[in-house]
Amino acid sequence: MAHETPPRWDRAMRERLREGEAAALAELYDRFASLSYSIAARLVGDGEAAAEVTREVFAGLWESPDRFDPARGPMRSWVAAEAHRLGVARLRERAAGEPEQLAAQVRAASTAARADYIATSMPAPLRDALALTRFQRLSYGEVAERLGIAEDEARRRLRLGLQLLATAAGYGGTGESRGSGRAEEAPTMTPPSAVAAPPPAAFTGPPVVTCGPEPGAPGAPGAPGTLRRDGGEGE
Amino acid sequence: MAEREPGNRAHPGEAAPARMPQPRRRTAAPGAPAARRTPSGGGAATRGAGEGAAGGGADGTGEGTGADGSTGSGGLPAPSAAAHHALTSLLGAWALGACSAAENAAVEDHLNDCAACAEEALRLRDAVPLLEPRRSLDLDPGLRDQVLEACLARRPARLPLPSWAGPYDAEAARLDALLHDMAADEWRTAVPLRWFTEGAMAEHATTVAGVMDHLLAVDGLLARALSLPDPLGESAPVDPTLRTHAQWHSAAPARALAPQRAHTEWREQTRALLSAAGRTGGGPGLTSVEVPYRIPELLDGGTLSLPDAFLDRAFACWVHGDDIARAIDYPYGPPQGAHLRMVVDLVARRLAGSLAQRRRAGLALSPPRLTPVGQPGRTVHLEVEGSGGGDWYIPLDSPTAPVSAADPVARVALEDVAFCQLASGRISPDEAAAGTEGDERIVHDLLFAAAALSRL
Repeated sequence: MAHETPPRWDRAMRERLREGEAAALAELYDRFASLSYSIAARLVGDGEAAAEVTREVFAGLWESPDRFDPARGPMRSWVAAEAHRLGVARLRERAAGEPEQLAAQVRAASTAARADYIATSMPAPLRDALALTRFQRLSYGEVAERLGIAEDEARRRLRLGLQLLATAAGYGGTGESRGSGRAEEAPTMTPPSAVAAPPPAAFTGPPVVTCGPEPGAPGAPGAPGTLRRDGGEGE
Repeated sequence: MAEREPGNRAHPGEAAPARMPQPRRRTAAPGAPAARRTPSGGGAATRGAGEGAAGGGADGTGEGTGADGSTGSGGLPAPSAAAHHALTSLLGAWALGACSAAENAAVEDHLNDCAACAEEALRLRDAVPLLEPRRSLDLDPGLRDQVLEACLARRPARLPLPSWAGPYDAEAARLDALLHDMAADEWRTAVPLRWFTEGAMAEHATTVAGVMDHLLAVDGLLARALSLPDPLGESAPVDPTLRTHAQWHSAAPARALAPQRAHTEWREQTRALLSAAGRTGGGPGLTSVEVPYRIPELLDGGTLSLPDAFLDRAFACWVHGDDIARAIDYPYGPPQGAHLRMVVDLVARRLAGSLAQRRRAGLALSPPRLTPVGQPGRTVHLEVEGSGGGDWYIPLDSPTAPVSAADPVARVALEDVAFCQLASGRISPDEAAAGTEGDERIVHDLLFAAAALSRL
């Protein structure tokens, strides 16, 4: 439920950091530490190295709050990109492994970071429906009942939510879930026409999704903006 | 929150669909190629071409899915628009394994014939592992202090957090992390709230959301003192119990729909309180800011200083975080030593008032003794063990009497956490397992005075 913070919050946070407010620093940490740590951990592994990256991310912003520019995207994205950048730098420093392996690791971490960004910034009703099926193993019928929505609406949310999430793996080749024998098929998996998503590690805004398969069909899943907002809630 | 393969929920006894959509031959068109190739059709349809026979005879058309399998004679059937639409709408649920077995079969059957759906199905299924639970509690809890200290070492805060707000900050962060990690349906988990009453331990059953509303309502007293909006409105009472019941009553309809909202509201308030605490400057003048705060040991209501009120709320935050953690079977430890000691100190300082209150109410076992003004009266040595421990000398005859560490009339020794549990009604005076010396009646009075500090 670490939802994206609104731009107003981002600007106020930067102002509080400028003022040197310790409570703002603590709040910043509570919002973004797990994001920063998990991105770092994918690159450099769990433990001290990921903790150091996290320390650097927060110390950097605390020392120079103006490094974050609200005009260039949300603070959450800044933290994610910074953790990624520092994690990659650390990985390169100690790069004993194969360059290909390094590239694959960086790519997987990029995909995961994009996915996290998408999952946190998608509308709450979509995210809630996804979470109920994936983590609580509900069927879509049970999801509908839980959220007080019609079954076709539950199906629609699950599909649309996954379509959004799929854009995370949508470019630069393989997502980390790919099986080894399928790499050569990767380019056909994501028709560029169906997806427009932010470039890797530049988290500039929510991805735009158009639903490819049935553009003309009545009742086709719409853009996130058309979502009914009953049954879910944001932070 | 374990990951699981899609498709095996509804009827565990039936064969689960393969990890990859397996193209099947349509029974209605036995002689047709297993999968239709289309100009854009890569992915599953193409890959499956060689395995088409595997599905021979399997009629996966589910009931009620609208997959009527319109069968063209001879060539490949084009699914009807309605069937296509119905099956397409299932793709997300299918990828997540949230369909019935019959629907799974119908979808997979359709993937044979429809390259567009096959492509989307694979794409959606590959997206499923990207959805990860937030795991706040995987973070080393010590990392927070480490990171914040490192930051403040590089650039000292111009608006530091006052030391008395430290425990509240840390405990609110711990509880926040616990709540973030909770599954949506755990919000209605029953949580018993307990407190000491004369003769028996009282208990009130509520839910996780109810606990958060309780914290929100009582924390609101601090909001008032700091000129922040009282969540219960300006005319709300200052009695914590009355406030809690008022909040439960007014929030009930909203919580029935979205219990997690209690978390959000509470967290926003704790953040505003901490920010305001930092902006007070934290100076010694604040100890004279009195928070109207009806406390059990004072019949006529009473007040706490702002620092003590923050400590009291940190204490409540820990105790109720622990209540929730127990209810949902989550590990949850005590506050760090320095913070625990501040909480123990607050409780110890309130003991004299509670002793006097019980004596006035005729509940004390030990006989009273009048102390001449200005003379040290009798004291009890409270020895608290553990990282939050220390030695306290509690005046026995009057809360205002000077205290002398020499010649205590009794000694009570107990663990830091047990002492706090006693003072919060989580254990009874009999369970407090204290090591004692001296007059048993005085020991009894002290333990009961600690228990009497608890309330809803």
